[in-house]
Order: sequence, then C-alpha cells, then structure tokens
Amino acid sequence: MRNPLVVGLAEVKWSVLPEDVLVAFSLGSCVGVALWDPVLRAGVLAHVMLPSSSRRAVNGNGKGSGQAPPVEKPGKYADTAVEYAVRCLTAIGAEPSRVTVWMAGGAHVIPGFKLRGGDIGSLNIQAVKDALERHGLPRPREDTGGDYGRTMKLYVGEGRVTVYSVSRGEKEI
Amino acid sequence: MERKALEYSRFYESAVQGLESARELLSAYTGRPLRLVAVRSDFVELSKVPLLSGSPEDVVLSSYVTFSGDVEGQLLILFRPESAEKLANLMAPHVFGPLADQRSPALIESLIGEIANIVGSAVLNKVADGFGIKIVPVPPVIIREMAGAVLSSAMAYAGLDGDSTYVAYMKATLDKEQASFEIVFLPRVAKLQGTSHKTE
Repeated sequence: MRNPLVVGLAEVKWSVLPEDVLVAFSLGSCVGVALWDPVLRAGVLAHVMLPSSSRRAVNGNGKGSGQAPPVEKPGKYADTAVEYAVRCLTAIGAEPSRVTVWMAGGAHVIPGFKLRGGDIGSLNIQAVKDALERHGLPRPREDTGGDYGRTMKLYVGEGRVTVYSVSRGEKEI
Repeated sequence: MERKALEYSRFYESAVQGLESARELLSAYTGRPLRLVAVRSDFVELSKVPLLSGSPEDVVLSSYVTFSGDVEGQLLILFRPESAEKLANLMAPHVFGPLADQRSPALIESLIGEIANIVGSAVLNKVADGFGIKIVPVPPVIIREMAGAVLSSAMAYAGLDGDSTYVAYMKATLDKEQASFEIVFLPRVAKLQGTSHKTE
C-alpha cells in the first residue's frame, strides 16, 4: 500500500517508511531534488523554487538593508534546500557520498518569463547542481529543462524516481 | 498594513468591475449569459497558489499576460480544454465545424486568445482607470500545460518578495455552467506601494 506525501512549493520532506512516496506535483520552473541512502533506505525530496537565498528581499519589500534574516523555508532556494536535505539525511546516519541523487524540472514553461540573469528554470538547475557539488554529492540522474511541467515521485522503499509529464507520460530516471 | 490592505481591496474591486465589463461583452459575443460564480481576494501562501485551480496536474489552456508601468504583475486566464472548445464554438460557430478534425488546437487557441484579450484588457483598464495609474501589458501567450506548473512558474517573482502573495481569483461560467474560465490576478506586492500617492 503506497502512502503519497505531497512536497509542496518550497517544502522539503523526508521518510524512512518503505510505503511512502514523496511527490512534487507540477514542477514548472521549480526543481525537485531527491536524495536516497541505499543502506538506510531513507529518502528526502525538496521542491526548490528559486536559485539563491542571497537574492531574496530583506524585510519582505525588497528595499531593506543589513543582515538578512534566517530563511524560514529552506526548501525555497536551491542552496538552502540542498543543505537542509543533506542535514535531514545525515541526522539519521546517512552518508552523503553513498546517496543517489535525482533532479527534475527547471523548465521554461512561460515564454519570455525571466529573472535578471536568465530564465528561472535554467538558473534553478545550475544552482541545484552547484549546491550538490559543494556538498560532495554524486552527480544527479536528471530530467530537466525543456518547456513542459513535470511531476516527480520518489519511492522511498525502492529508491527509484519517476517523472510524469503531460506530453511524455511517466518514465523512470 | 491597513492602508496596504485597503489598496489591495480596491485593486480587487476594480478587477471585478473590469470583469463585469468583459462579462457583458462576452455575453453579447456568444449570445449566452456569463456569470461570475467565485470571487475572492487575499494574501495566499506561495505553496497554495499552484492549487488555486484545483488539481495541479490538470491540464489547462492558459493565457498569460505580464504588465508593467506604475504596477507590475501578472494576469492569468485559465481554461479547461473542454471549456475552451465549447467557448471557441460559441465565439465562432461559422468557422468551428462540427467534426473533430475541424477543431484544430491552433484554432481553439486563437479564439481563446481573443477571449483572454477581452477579459485581460477589461480588467487591467479598469484597474488603471480606478487608480489613475498607467499599466502596460505585453501581448498574451497561450500555454497548454499542467495548471500547477504554470501557476508555480508565475510565482517566481512573488517568491523574491516573500512567502505569501496577494491573489485576486475570479471564475466565470457560461451557458449553464457547461463552460467556464478562471482569472488569477497577481499584482506584485513589492511594487504596489508606489501606487499609493496616486490613490489619495
């Protein structure tokens, strides 16, 4: 019996229960990052929205100055999401060098929609890869880019990830 | 904060007035009465925005408009495929034949683009008039994709400003609820304060 756990925008969830399926629905420019430890059979999934916590507005209005407050939702940014996901797994005894990593999403769904520096999907993909490298994690298996949305599922008991899109159906990556 | 809330409620009222204008025009075009069935306006947690239109995996035809000027933001008009087809048929029965192969996606998207133009222009013009501000929309793009993917991508700007955003959500139905569309109006929170001097 599967137990789906929805990982919403800017959330990170982890599980050690074999029946759990961590699901990030409808990733557009967002990137889903999954880590799974084959020894503990534990997994974590982050639903990343933006590339870097350093670009966020301070005081919530973009006009503040001074030291930025702590990030309330670590899953929102690639740098803090990957760090938080690693912390979740290492806290229960996982070893970063042995985990399997997957990522999906980072599409350019809305033509012409960009942040300063490029389209958000591409920026998110690169930022996640940079963060994975900083933490010494293996290269990810990935289904990223393009112009279509994806739903990503991590099957915790099996250590496998599927990606669904409207135009391409479901596949394992 | 109270002042900001007041400004947002005025935005919403203006947007609804704009939709009312569009309602009259579309009712005349289609020969069917258009009704507003759901309207709400609030600050919404970002994680909830992809769920505004129901299941995030449901495919929708979206008309997406960004606007700038005195206020920045986005306006999305979402059509379920079956509603899009019905609306297209009502808009142009003479070109939209009864056979499946006469209902090309390109034709449907073109007609949906027209509906979106009518609704989008009416809403944005009414907001601009109501506040005495300038709003400059870019031409809409039509996207056929999961509703959640479109809405979450559109949320990226709002994500830079905080963990919640202001959303005005409206739904219109036509022809005894056999066809409907949703309007999601997302003025950018951080850019709204600049309008206050024009609203005195």
